Amino acid sequence: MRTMIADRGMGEPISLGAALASGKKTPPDVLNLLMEDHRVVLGWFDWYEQTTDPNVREKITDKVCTALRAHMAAEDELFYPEAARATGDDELVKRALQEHKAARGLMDKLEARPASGAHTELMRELRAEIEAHIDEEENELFPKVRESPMERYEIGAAVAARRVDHLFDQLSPPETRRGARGAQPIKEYPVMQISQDVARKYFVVGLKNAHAAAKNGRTMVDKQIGRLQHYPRLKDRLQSHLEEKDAQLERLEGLLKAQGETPSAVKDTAMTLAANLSAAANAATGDEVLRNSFAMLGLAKAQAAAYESLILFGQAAGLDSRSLRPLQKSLSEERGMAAFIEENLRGTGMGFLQLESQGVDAAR
Amino acid sequence: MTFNPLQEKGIPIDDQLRNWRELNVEPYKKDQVHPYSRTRGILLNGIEVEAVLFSHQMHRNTLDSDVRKQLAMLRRVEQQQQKAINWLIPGDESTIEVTLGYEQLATDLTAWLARHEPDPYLKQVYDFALLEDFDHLYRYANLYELIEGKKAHTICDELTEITPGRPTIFEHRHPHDEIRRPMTAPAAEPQSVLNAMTIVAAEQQTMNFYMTIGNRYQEPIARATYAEIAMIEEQHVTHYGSILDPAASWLQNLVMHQWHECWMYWSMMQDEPDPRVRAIYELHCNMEIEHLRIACELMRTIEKRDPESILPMNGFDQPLKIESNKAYVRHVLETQIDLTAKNSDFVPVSTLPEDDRYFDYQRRVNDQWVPTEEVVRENAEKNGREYRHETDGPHPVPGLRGTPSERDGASIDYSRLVHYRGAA
Repeated sequence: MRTMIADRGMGEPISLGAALASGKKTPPDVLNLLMEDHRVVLGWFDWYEQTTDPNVREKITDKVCTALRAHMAAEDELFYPEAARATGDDELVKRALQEHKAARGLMDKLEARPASGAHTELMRELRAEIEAHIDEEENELFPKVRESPMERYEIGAAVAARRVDHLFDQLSPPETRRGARGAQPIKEYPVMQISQDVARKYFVVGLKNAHAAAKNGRTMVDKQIGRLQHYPRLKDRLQSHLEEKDAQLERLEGLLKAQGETPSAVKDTAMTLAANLSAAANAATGDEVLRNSFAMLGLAKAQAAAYESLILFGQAAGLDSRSLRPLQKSLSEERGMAAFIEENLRGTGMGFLQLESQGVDAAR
Repeated sequence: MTFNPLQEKGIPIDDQLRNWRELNVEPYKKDQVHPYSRTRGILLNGIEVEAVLFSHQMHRNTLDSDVRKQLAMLRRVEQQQQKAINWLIPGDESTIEVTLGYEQLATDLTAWLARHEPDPYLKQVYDFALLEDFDHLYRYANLYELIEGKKAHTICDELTEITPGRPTIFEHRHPHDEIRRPMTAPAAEPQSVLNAMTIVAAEQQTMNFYMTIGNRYQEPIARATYAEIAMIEEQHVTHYGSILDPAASWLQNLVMHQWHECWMYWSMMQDEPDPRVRAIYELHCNMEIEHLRIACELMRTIEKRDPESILPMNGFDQPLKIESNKAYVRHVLETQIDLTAKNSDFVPVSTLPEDDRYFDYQRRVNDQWVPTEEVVRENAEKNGREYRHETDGPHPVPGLRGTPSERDGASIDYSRLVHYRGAA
């Protein structure tokens, strides 16, 4: 099995979890992350004690409660279960959960906006509770975790992402909170377990399909070169694309051979036939060059998409980058072809209209 | 010749810190330095600046305090390496003289990369910008003669010709036409990745340099010439930066940076004639081997990935060489002078429609006055002719020859079209 990055679904805004999983943020060791949180909140308690302005004290209280709730939720949901599993010690975790409960009770009272004297007293109590909790975690639980086999960066990524989700949730208006809408909070960090055998199977299927599609593309290109009369630049570009197609077919055959496979004769024949038919259909029209451009653009994009997916599947199947390099060459060629057609649509279209305006048959 | 830094032992990181005396290296002698020693130093300075800037950005995207500490340690050493390299430049070398070194490097580095680029699209990316940096050398050479009264070939020697490339006035393009198609790192040729990292670092340093020192002159023409060319450097950093794989992770990039730095120092060691400078490069190479080891270790620990899976198994099979490329540059001049960039592709400027955004952009920035044209005109007026150093015969493009009689009615498409359409 290979662990690969999963997408969290189409259209979802990029989350810290996704950024961490894709390496766009570098994850923390979970113990470092939690200890940094501890230092930050102790600093805020100091600040609270040094100021007398009730407005500032209120703001600090809000900061402390919001941060602690997010920190504790991520610990409860992700860190503690992992810690219990990794250390085999349920007792420390049970105690920690009880301390969280006590702290939450104090925060509920603080958030009910008590009078000034009671506020100060509650904050003192909360600080004492948190300090005891930190002491226990950092001196008893964390050393045990450090010696356990826990994957601390993996769990660190999950905890960091979960903590931010909670912060975001608390700071959002009540009606858009995940909890309020009954939506499931995202607990698992987005990775997938991929079987190399499955990946290899679809890599080979993909190679065969790409081979047939390249045959199709080659036939389309070849037919047009023979017919084009008024579009010398397009003809030149297609001529060099024909050579690229031959190279692509060879590369695909090489990759198939390395997998102990050969191209599918049935698929190749079917696709070549399809290409002949569509080229013939377009040839019978008065705007052949335009129709062929649209078709070629679609084909080049489809072929590029196929190569891009093959690189992904090949990686999942455990192929090294040296073996995948031929696919990058082919991918670049198809992206280049698609870009050429797209960037010249205007030129081709205007050329067509100009020739037709002059009474010339501009179809090809 | 091959070199595999993964199989070498470097200097332990704690032993890499240097004292002020070691850092404040004795500069080279301006009148004795080999032109390519100057350019090698400029290149390696750019590489270290990129290392430092990259490390700062990575650190700001790293959630772990221990990893941040390790990055800080590497970065401190990289800052020291940058000082040891960049302090080789003597104080009596003027800003334009250093600038001539930057543009000579840009020419001969880009030409080498183009010649050794396996991917045809990327080769075109290098060829395209080669002609633009080549033109900057000529513009600065005229500025040098105009305000310091000296000849640029005393700096560049006979190694690089000095004559117009794609004229700077025509290099100003709409930002949307500077974006190229990226590589896919897992499947790219290792040489393509090394080449791209080299040019991005070198162009970025050129951009940093001009944006900082371009205002150190009192002469309006000098300030203006730097400002104009500095804007092309922005285009070039965008142009080259867009070929890098945007999907690579921070850790992957960290490993690739250290791998690339090993290649750089190993390459530059090979040809450096000054034994004192060569010793610095060797020392840095041994430091980089350790930086690479640390980066690989971080990747294994954090991403649970094997760095060997993203690095070529056999190390480097060829060193980068800073060498003379006169014939190659002439060939590219002859064949590609009239190319422009359109979206991700390169097309003859004559194929652009009249209402293309290129011409709009040209009209906007070149309105009334173009410093890089003016500097040549003023120098020609002062000295009776513009400054050129053509060692291998007349300019390969008839439309760019020196006097109207040499041009014999020839022009490049750019002059014809842009003039016709009323820009400039």
